[in-house]
Amino acid sequence: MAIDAKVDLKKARMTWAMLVGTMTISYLAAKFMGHGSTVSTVVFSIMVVQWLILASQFLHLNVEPKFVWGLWISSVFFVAVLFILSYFDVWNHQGINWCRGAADCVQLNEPKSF
Amino acid sequence: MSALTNDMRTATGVITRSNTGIPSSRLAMWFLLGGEVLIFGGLLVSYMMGRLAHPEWAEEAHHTATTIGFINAIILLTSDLFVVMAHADAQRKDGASAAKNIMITVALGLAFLVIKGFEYSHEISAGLTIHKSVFWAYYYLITGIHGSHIVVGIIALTLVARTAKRGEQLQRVETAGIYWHFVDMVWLIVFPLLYIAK
Repeated sequence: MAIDAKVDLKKARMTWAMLVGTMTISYLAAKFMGHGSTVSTVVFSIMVVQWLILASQFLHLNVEPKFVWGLWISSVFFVAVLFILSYFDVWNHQGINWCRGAADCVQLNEPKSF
Repeated sequence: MSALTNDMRTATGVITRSNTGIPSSRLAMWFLLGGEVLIFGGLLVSYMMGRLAHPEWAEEAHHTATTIGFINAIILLTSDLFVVMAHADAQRKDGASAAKNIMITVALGLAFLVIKGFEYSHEISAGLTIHKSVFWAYYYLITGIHGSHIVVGIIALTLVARTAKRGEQLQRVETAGIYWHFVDMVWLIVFPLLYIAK
């Protein structure tokens, strides 16, 4: 049995044009509207869309068995776990035997009054 | 179930055996890329953490060349199209045309590396070295590991083109193509992270 989807070149060229177009929008937005949080949010949203298009059309995940999706999702899951578990620590300024900024460290090094 | 009943014929004409429903070489590539997701994912997540904790990195990020990053993104996206065209050629069993499209992809990969090298030399001459700060250490680490993947991709594609030109092992075109698409997908994340979010 055939297990490959036939490559549709017309669709591939459309996908390429879409990816280049969205990449150009990201670039022009950053170039002319600055690199603020609004532009960054728009650019990262575009990036997610580009990723999905590339994964489904060029990487043809849309025709692969669910097993392959499971493989990718399990990898992404562990990266997400790394992100979530370390995210909260990032916002801490001091912990047991460590401090980040000079102000926090001064406070940490102050002798305790009994 | 005997192994014989799991035989499959791909569009490139190769009979392959797999219990997962996909050819073994492609399955191996998916496993490799699953590991790559962890490598790049861990690296990019740790960079994002650092970036969240250190707003002053935004000042450092202002020195990255957005235009060069954009040109390289377009080069990689275009190389993706040629890989797809090579895959279509392989499905038609036109090995010579597949080899030609693969070599165009290789040329675009080399162009990416040359531009990246130019960018590195410009940054290093401006004193923005790997030792300058944690941001620049991340920058060289992320782009360096990505660049090394481009080098591996170029070598793999060149080897695939050699056999494809003789009309042999055409299923390799797709497998190498999947790797190349993944390397491009990584750049789609690296570009906004290092060149846009400033």
